[in-house]
Amino acid sequence: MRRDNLEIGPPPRDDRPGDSWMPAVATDGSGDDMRVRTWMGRRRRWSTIVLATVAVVTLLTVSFVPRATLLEPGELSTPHAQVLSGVASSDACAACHHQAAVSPWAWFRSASDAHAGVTQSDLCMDCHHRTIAPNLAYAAHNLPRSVRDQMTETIRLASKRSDGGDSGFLPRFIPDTAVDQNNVACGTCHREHHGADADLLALSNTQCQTCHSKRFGAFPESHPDWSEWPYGRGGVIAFNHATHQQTHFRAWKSGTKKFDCTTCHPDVAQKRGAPSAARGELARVASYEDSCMACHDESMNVLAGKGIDFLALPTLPRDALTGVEGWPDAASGYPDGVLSPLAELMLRADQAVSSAVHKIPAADVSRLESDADQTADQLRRLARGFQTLIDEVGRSGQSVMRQRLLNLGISPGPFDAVLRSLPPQLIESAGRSWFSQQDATALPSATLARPRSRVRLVGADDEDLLGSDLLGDISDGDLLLGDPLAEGSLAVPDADPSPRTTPTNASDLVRRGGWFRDDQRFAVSYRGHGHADPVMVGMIETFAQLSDHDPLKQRFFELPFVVACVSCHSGASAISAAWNASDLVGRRGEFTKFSHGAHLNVSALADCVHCHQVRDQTALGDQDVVFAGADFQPLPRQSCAACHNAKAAGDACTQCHRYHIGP
Amino acid sequence: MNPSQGPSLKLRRTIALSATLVVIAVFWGIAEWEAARLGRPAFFTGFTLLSGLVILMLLGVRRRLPFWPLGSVSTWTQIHLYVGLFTTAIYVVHVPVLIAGGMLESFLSIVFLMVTASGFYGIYASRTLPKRLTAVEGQHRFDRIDWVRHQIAAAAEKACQQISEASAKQVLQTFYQQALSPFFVSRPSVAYVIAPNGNRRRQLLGDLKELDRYLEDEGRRVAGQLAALVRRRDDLDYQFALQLRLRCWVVFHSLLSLVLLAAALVHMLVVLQYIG
Amino acid sequence: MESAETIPVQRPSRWDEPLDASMTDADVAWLRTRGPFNQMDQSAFPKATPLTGILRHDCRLRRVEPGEVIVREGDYGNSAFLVITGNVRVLVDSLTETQLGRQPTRSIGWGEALTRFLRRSPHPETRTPEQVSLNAAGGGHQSIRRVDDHPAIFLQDIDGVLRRHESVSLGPGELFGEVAAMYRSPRTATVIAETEAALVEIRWQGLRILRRDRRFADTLEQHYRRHWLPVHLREIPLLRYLPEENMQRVIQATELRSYGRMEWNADYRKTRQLHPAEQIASEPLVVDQGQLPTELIVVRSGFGRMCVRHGAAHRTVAYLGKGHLFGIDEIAFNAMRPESMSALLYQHSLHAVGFLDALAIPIEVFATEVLPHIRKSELPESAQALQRSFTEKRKDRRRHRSDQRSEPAASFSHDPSQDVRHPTGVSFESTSLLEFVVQHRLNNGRDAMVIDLHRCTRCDDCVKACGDVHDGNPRFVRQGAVHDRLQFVQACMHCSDPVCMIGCPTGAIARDQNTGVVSIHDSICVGCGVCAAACPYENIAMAEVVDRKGRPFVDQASGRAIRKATKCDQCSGLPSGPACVAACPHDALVRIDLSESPPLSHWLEKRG
Repeated sequence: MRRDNLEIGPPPRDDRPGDSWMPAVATDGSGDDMRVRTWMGRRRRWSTIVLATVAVVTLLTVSFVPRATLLEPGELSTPHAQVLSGVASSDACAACHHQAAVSPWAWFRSASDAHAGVTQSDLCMDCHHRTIAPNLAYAAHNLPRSVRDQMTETIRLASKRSDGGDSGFLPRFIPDTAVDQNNVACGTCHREHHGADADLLALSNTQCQTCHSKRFGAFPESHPDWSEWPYGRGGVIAFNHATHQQTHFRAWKSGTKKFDCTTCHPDVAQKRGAPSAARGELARVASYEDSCMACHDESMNVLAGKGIDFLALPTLPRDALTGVEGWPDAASGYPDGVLSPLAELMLRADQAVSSAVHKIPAADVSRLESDADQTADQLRRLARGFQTLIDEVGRSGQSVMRQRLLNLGISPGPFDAVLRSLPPQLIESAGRSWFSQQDATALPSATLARPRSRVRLVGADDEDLLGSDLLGDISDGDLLLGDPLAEGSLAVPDADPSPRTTPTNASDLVRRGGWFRDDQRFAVSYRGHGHADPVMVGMIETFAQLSDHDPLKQRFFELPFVVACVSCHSGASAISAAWNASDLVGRRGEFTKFSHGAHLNVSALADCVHCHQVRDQTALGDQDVVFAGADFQPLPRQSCAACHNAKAAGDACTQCHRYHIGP
Repeated sequence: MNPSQGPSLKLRRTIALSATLVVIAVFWGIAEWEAARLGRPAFFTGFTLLSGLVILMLLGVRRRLPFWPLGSVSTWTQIHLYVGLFTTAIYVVHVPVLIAGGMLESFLSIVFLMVTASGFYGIYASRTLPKRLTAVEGQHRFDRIDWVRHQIAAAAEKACQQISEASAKQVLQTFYQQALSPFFVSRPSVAYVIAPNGNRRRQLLGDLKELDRYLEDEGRRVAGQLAALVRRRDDLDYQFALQLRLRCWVVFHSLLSLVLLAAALVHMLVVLQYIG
Repeated sequence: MESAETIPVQRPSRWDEPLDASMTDADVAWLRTRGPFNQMDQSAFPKATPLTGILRHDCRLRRVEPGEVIVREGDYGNSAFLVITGNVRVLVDSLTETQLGRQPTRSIGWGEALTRFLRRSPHPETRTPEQVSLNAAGGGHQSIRRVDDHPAIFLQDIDGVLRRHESVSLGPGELFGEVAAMYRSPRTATVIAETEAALVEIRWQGLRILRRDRRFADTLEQHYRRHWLPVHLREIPLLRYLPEENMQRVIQATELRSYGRMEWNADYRKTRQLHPAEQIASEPLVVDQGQLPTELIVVRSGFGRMCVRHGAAHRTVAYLGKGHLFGIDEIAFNAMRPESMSALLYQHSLHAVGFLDALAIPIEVFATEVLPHIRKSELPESAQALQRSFTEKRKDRRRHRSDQRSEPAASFSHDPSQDVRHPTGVSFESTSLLEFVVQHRLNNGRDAMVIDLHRCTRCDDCVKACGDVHDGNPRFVRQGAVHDRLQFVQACMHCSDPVCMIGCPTGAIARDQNTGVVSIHDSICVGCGVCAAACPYENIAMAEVVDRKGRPFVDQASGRAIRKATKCDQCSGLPSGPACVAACPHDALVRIDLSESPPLSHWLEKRG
């Protein structure tokens, strides 16, 4: 102890630190009754004050701040937030949470509430039914179970073929069926309230594969190999890169001209003139005019020049024509002639004829057994069918043909283009000229006689003038109708067999395409011209609606004129005729998605042939050429994996695969 | 509890720390595993957090029940430390971001982080401040610091008045009234309590020393006594500041943890209701 | 002895302070006519301390009434009693606590502990009337009565007690309690007054001078040698294989030595202020370093300081307590050494701290009678092994005795070389800590409260917990001597030499035979304050008690406030054990046995 220190005694020993008060100390030592708070007393007081303040602030907050603001656990992602921006905040929770409509007090009441059975996913579907089929919304991948099972099997087989097996530590330990695959709630994957910029679609590879019975590790090692992607996806337009490059464009191949991919596959956005930032997506195909016309227009027009018959009278034996009035003599004789597909289609709709038509093998009259008993009857009904058709069209026009298509269960929509171009008067006049050699009085059939007389009546007033005026009007506006009018105007007044002896080939009259009547063949035909002839399109789309097994359809698509279209437009014969190659980007029906955009930014990939290498055609077997996509070297998984690994471009499932498979 | 038995503190710390880390790793693994199978690990981690909080709160309960043999409070404190570490780690696993969005959630996470931070500060403070306290002379009981302060003030007053020499009396009493009396009578300033420093002490002692040249023997003796009192008073204030800091920390930590528990319960109820 | 103002403040000279100021010359003259004083040779006494002076100043006449308890088994006392008239009974069997008016320690269940905690009184030091006085509880019996000027406790149903318990009757002229007084050991039996009797109480100082009288001294010595010395010697493990006849010779040869003053606690307050060097110099020297070993010193009671010369002063190497040996290394070496080697001198000196009672076995006797019967493995390399086994044995015995105690009491024994072996300065400066402990007489503490100030956050949870389990009244405050990082808190240490128990008139302060816990039995505490004054550590506080409404209890007769002695009772009976230790959140507080240094150094080592 220091020498200078004054002695200060030890403090009193009556400590009671648990008490709130202790005797006060006064400077003079007195102050018996005074007391001060001990630390514990001060602590108790401050604790009470603080806790009371917190309680009051809480109460105020609860009473003045709306529930949604108070309880929202985090910001909604921007799209959802925008949707809810107009909603009163008291209802905001209820937009997605069915429970929000229930007050906390309801917990203490009975459990029966009107919201039983409503799940959060149902509320999601209130808005999202447009993009996700509501009936399959909760099924895994929005696919029916059978399809899923089938795919499971596909993947199983693919992974068996593949050299990579499953790998990775965690995937093996994830137990099966963590999620009921037939009732996957939206919230299982899409977690909200993680901030405005949160990615609602973010899923890890293991999360993706939770439900999968077959699981894979990282993409580079473990993803099953594919065989033909991206080529084998059934293009709508048949185009063989190999033959084009190596056969038809030898000069380009030799270097004098480059077989440049961008000629046919230009950047879509660039073409539109969009800023470069938006660029990157390539056109699937170039336009016909740009790319194909130079070579293919001529040959296509040659094929198209053969024309297609709307109807052509077959040559029928005389014995079959008993009772058929006015059948041209030139079309009488040994049975011959093939029913044109259009005519057959129309005749099928006539119940009186349809059975007869079906019995003609390959629609070739000559192949009917001539000595069979029914043949004559069938041919007679056929002849009458033709007459009825011509007669009805002549009288009632387009509606007859529409009605007949409807009777066959064919949507007449596509056929409208045909109807618009085919004047009923052409048919009528053809019928008149072909069947008019006989006297009008010879018509025995009441069904035929009556309508005909009516036409005659109309025609009797001023048949020539009326006809020419009418047709002349039309011919002014329509180039296609010019020739038949001219011919008709020549033929009708003659009213004699002279047209049959017309020296000119009728089809040559319509070199630029159009309907014409060929009196030599007793046919009304159409000659197409140029790419995307609307009449041809209409016909093909109409026939495309027929079943693939229908011989009529097959016959139609073998017609040279049609072949001219469908040899390239292979998709046109599909049940729903597809003409144009649609962009694969943005389609929702496939598991795999791909965008050139990101890839073309990589300088090494900017050259298309880095990935898409055309096969040497000579090395291809004949059978390979047949398959679409065989003109390219297969794109192996390894070439993707060069970049798509965890260290570089990423190997997430969701980079290439989509979950929601839908229309 | 034989003090010579049992493992050393270092060994105990190593074992407990590694055990905690192992448990954290296991819980983290379970959470990851659940996330990978599209489950909601937030429930698992959330209830773990809540249990952790309850276990942490039990220290306060144990402290208030000294009469039951529930294990010593120091054992509970050790458990508290490691459970606190564990809970902090689980919190990091539980939350998407350290400070959540939304009013309730951000409040909850801020309170949690404050409690955690104060807890970690507590470890630091309770390990370092005692040594600083020990280094200062005089081990005062907190509740009696006022008493000692009065005693020192009274002793200074007395020392000043006992001077008989007229010159010294004048010099010292002037100084006493100007500088010393305010110092002895008043409590230490808030700034000093928050950050104790030696400035005041140095200044007063320097001034006292300066007076020596005006003083004879007796005056110097009294000045020496006053200097000793200044030192004692400064030591006392230092003790007061550090002890107050230690005590305020406990109050802060325990009060906030009450708020935290309440907020966590509300959070749990809200989540349980709105989960769909 | 009634008032607390008897604390001596100067070094007391002979008879400054008589035992009983009311002793008159007539009393002395009357005593001189009674045996054995009538047969004493007055000339044998020095001039400064004549026989009459002893009778006048060191004796007191006491009248006891039938049934009064004169001394209790287990009490510590520093006076002997001589029966002058009447008969007293020495009870060979032990009496129960209740018969002595004490509350036996009972374990308190969880429920009761909770109830007690919840029903804490808002007022300090609240007592029920039963707790204030035993008389209030007993149905009409006056267990505590004043006999003449002193309060006394009475046995109920004396006849029954005497019938059920074996007892020995002592008549006029017979002395009892002298062994406990002379050799600072607990009373071995309870003595009650059979009839109304007159006793002379002779305090220890007087007793020592009375031994100048040969016959008196012989009687005392013979008695001790016959009855107690064999017991004490047998306790020494070194002698455990000694045949009976060797033992007899050892008993014959052993000398009894006493050093220092028994009332060390009175001196302590002054000497603690001295510089360590002065303090060591002031302590009576038992053996000096560098002497040729002539005897083996066995500490029987009291404390010894083992030091070694270091520079100009002494440095403490260890302290010795009951049962420790001094000089065994040197003596064993000397006895076994080959002729060519020179004899080893005492390596250390031994000082009596306060007082030291020792048995000295001469080296010749030791060499001839004892050494052959000591196992070769235990000698002569080191005495450590021996002493350790001694330690073990004592520990076992203690543990056996105290099996229901939650923590077994640490042994009294001590390995003197412990601190020497451990290099100083690793965890604490061993020597300075030793000096500190001895200087503050903390080596007396068997359950001292030590706080590690480097861990203690000064949260006062220990004090609060103590208050919580003691009806709101903490039994200590967190203050006390500080050495380096250790604070030796002023809480009862349940000393190995419980000076507070000396002089309690009713035996209210008593030591539990099993646990060694010294506790105060409120209902028979008369509030005299002797214990509080005697405790050199100021660990006993006198408190004025109130009832649950805060009304003070006052004495019927005098109207003065009733006071009770309060102190730490180790929370005995509570399920939690010492609440202070359990309540420390930072493991900074420990109850530790300071009567030897290993527990403390181990504890310090552990915290690194």
